[in-house]
Amino acid sequence: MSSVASLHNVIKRYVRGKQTIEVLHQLDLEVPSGQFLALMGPSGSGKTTLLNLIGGLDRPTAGEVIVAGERIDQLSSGQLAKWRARHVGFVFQFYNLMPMLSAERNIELPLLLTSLSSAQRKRNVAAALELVGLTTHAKHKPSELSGGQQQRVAIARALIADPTLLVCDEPTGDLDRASASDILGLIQTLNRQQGKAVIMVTHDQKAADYASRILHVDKGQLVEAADRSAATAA
Amino acid sequence: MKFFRLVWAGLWRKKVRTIFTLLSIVIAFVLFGTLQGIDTAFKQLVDQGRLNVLVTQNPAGLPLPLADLSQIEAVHGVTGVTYRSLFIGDYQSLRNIVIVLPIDTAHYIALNRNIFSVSPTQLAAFQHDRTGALITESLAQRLHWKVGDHVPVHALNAQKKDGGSDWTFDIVGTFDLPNNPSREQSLLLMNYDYFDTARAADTGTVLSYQVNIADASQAAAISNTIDNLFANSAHRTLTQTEKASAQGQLAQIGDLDFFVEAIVGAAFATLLLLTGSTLMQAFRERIHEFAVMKTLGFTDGGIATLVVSEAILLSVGAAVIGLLLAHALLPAVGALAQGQIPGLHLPWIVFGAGIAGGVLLALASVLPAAWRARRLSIIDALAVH
Repeated sequence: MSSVASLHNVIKRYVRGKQTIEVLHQLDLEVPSGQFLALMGPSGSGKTTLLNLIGGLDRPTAGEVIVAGERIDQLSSGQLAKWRARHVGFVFQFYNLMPMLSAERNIELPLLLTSLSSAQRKRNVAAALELVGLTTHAKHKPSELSGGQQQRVAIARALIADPTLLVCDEPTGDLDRASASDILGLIQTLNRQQGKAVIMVTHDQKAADYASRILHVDKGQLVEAADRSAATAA
Repeated sequence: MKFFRLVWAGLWRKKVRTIFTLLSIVIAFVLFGTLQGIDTAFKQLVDQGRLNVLVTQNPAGLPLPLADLSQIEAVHGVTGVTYRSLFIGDYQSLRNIVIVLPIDTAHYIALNRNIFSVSPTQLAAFQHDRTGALITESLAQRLHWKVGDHVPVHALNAQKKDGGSDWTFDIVGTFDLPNNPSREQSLLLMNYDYFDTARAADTGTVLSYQVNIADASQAAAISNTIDNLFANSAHRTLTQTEKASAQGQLAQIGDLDFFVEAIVGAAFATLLLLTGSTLMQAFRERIHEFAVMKTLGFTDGGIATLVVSEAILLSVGAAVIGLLLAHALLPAVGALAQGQIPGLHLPWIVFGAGIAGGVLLALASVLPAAWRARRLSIIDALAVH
C-alpha cells in the first residue's frame, strides 16, 4: 500500500531565547493511504509539532517529510501554501471559523483558491453541507451555531477541496461527550467510506479508539500502540 | 471578483468602527472637494483675464481722477480706454447682495464686446436712459427682476448727495458673459454719469481704467509708460494686465493655495494617523483569522493583498462619497455666497486627484498591517490565540 505520509530522520528543534529544545528526535513514520491514525501523548511530547510538519504548517530542522507524494520540507512558503490548499484539510480544536462569514461562506473559503466557477462552488458547498448534515444552517453565522455544528462546518470546509489527507488537532477537545462522539463518527465515516487518510492528535483514549492505528509520541519519539485496522469504534 | 465578498465581509467585521472610520474619511474628502472647488473657481476667474487688456488703478485701491483718461488714451499702442467704478448694495435685505458697476456707457460694452452678450436694443436703451440698468440673467432670476421694473438698491459704500443710500434703477435689459464664471454673479451695470453726479464723495473719479492695447507683447512697456505719466502726481497708478490684476486681487484675500493645502494637509495627516492605528488594531484582532486562512492555503501575498484591498475599498469608497457630497454641496456654497464665487463646481481633475488620494491614504495607512499580515507565522499565531 502506498504511503500518504513518510517522515525520515526528522528532527525539529525550537530556539527559546538562549535555549534550544529538540522536540522531535530523528523520527521515522509511514502512514499508508486511507489510514486513520491517532497520535497520542502527554502535553509537550511533540504530537502537535509532528502534525504541523505533516500538514505543511512547519518545517523540520532536518530530515525528509514526504506527504501526498511531495517532498514538502523543500517547498517555498508560496509553494507550501498551494500544496496545503490542494492536499490537506485541517480541523482544529476551536473550529477556527471566520466569524463574519456564514456557514456556507466558511465552507467555500478553500474553493476560492481554485478555478471553479461560482455555480460549481455553490454545488460543492451544498454537497458538503449535506454530508455534514447542516443544509438547513447554511446561512447561519458561527455565533448562531452550537460547538458541534461549528465543528461540522469546519469538517465540511476541510473536505470541500477534496484533500488527500485530513489533519485533525484535538477535534473534539472543546465538545461535550455526545457531540464529540458525533464528530468522531463523522470523521470515521469519511475515512471508511471515502478513503480519506486521517491523522488526528488527541489526548482522549475514547477518541483515539475511533482510529485504525494509534501511535504514542513520547519525548520526541514514536511508540506503536496497537494495529487497530480491524477495530470498530466503541 | 470572487474575493470581493470576503473583502466586504472583513470590512464590516466591526460595523461601528468601520462606520466611524468611513465617516472621518468622508468628512476629510468633503473638505478637500469643497476647498478645491472654491480654489478652482478663483483660479478660473484669474484665467479669464486677458493679456491684451491692461487695468490701471491706484496701488492702494484709492480712486483715480477721470481727468487722467485723455493722457492714457494718448499713450502709443493704446487702442481704447474705458473706466468703471464699483459699489456694493443690497436689495431689501443683506441676503440679496448686488454688485453695482457704474460704467462708461459709450465705450465699456464696445471695448468688451467679445465678453458681453447683450441685445443692441437693450444696449441702446441703457445708453439713453440715465437711470437705466443692465443686469446679469442670474441676478434677474435670483431677485425675480424683469425688464421694466423700477428697483431700489441700498448702497453699503456709496452715499448720495441727498444723504440717502438708496439708488433707484430702471431695468432696461439683461446681459450674459458666455463661458465666463462671472455670469453667475449678481452684477448690475449703471450709467457712470448718473452715479458721479448723484454721489456725495469722490466726484470725478473712477476706480479703474481698462486699457486695450494692440500688441500683448508690449503690455509691460505700455504699463510702464502709463505709470510713469502719474509717477509724480498725487494719484499714482499701477498698471497690469487684466490677468495679473485679477491675481493681485486674489492675493489680497491671502495665499488661497497655501490655506487650502494647509487645511487639507492637516486633515489628511490626522486622518492618516487615525486610519493607520484603526487598521493596525483591526489587524491585531484578526491575526488568528489570517493564520487560519494561511492554513487553508492562502499565500502570504494573498493575505497581504486582502488586507490592502479592504483598506482601499474603505478609503476609496469614503473618498467617492465625500467627493460626491462636495459636488452636491458646492452649488449650495455658491448660493450662500449669492453668486459672488462664480463657477463653483468640482472639476473632474479634482475628483480624480481625490480618488488617487484615497488610494494613497489607504496604502500609507495599511502598509504596516499588510506587511505584518504577510510575515505572520501560522504556528505562532495559532499558538498564541
